[in-house]
Amino acid sequence: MAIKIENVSYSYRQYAGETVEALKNISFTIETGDFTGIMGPTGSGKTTLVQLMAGLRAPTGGRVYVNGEDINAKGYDKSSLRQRVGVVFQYPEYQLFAATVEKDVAFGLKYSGLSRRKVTARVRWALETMGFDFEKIRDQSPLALSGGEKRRVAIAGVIVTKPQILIFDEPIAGLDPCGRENFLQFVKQMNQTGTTIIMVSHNMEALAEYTRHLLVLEKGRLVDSGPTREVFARLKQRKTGVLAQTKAQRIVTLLAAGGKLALSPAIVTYDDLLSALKQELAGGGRG
Amino acid sequence: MLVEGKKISFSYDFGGSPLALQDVDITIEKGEFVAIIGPNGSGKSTLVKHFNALLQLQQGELRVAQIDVRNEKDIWLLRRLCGMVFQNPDNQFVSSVVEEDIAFGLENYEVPRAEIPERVRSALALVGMGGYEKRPTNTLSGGQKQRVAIAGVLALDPEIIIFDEATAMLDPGGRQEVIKIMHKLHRAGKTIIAITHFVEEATAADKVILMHKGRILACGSPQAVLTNLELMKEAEMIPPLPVRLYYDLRQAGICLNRCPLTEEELVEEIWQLRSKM
Repeated sequence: MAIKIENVSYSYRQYAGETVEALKNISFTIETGDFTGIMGPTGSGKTTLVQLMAGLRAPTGGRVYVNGEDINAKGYDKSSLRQRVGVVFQYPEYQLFAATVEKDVAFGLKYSGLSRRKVTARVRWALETMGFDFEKIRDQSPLALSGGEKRRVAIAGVIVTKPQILIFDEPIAGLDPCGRENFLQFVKQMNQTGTTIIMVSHNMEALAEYTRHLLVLEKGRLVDSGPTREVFARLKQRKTGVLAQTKAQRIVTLLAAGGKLALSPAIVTYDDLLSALKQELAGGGRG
Repeated sequence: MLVEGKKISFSYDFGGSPLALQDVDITIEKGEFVAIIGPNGSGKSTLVKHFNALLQLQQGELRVAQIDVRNEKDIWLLRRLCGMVFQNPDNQFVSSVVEEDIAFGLENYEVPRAEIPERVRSALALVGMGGYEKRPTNTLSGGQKQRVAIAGVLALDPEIIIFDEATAMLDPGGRQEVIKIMHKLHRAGKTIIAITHFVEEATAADKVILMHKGRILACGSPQAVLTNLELMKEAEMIPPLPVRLYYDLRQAGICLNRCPLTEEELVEEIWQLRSKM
């Protein structure tokens, strides 16, 4: 398995000496090659969890394993972890700094020991993967690009090390609808070529349509996990369910009001809803 | 007319191409709720940043509340009349305590000291954050932070409130909180301008402005703009789910009576069709 979280807790020291438990005794595993989503309201501990999986914080209780190794054990080589786990934080475009796009993306390979030619080839690959024309973009200042372009450059700077595990924290916030779809297609491709993907998002449609497994956090606890469709079906029953539903699920609920039209409770995505309605309404409203 | 702009063009590198805004004409009436949609880089933020002179007008004309935005001596009045709430809730705080953050704006505008506590209190009450006066801002949720940011703008009693993707970083609950406040302020008579990537948020507006590559591609009722598939496609936008569903069902030979905009309208149309079967 790619990642194993075992009885992990994490406490922050807050103002006035109070401690806040951001994560409370969480356990789960993520298999190699999986596409796992993490959802939960603001303050539920999602970003803390990401930082723990990336080895940027050590848990105050429990253990974090990456590829079977305890990453906080004495003697564990953290620099090798950086090559294995790539993290794209919220608004990664704020982290661009170099004078040219090429230099910015190449920064992650600085101590990789790769030859100059190999570094250039990798940077080209990363930028082309993110949809750029390498020759056109390489000498531009990253700061002069549009918001969406900056984000793609920043992501190129993470994938350039070819990490086996890629973690995205709210990657599509602030992107326009087509930008969202393009980005999610790209992540899907990375996943299909073998990269394990973990994606934190508030976007229910993105989670429902692209992830295979889902973890649900609430106030620092793991309140549900499992195959995405099953988790979404269960979310409907939860108290906080209305907000943690896909639009298709909400429409199914609305249609059922007053016993008017009961569709399958298994409907989660737009395509599910469309095909169910096609069946239900076939022959109706012609002409 | 509250906002009246003619032939506004703008370039971030003075004359370089492509233009961020090209010959934009815009009018906004007092009390209107205007949604501005369009892809990243289409000029939405660039346009609204002209309204309170965060960006200097390079070409064209623009008057906001009768004030010519080129008049430098009116710039503070303009900014007070035209408040803005931005995307990132964490980047907007100047103080670590809620009430101090809101008082900051008032002090800058030399509001008499004796008036400040009451104005802070009533602004917080308006956004449903009464009782949070002494709270450290870092203990608030995303939606609460945005509501405090809105209160900071409200305390100055603006005429226009601009929301520049103010819901983009929030969880679904936080988004609902902010959307509710936007509509509440609209009902109270404020002019609301909301930039958003969530087309659903535009369905309840009085007017939708669709931007693409620095131009206004369309301006009209939500029905006229959001249900026009060709227009939305041209602007590289994806219509709201009820609109997509309406057209996809049509392709399968199932025709709803009319194209719905909201989830509620969609459900009505489906019920109606089914009752006739």
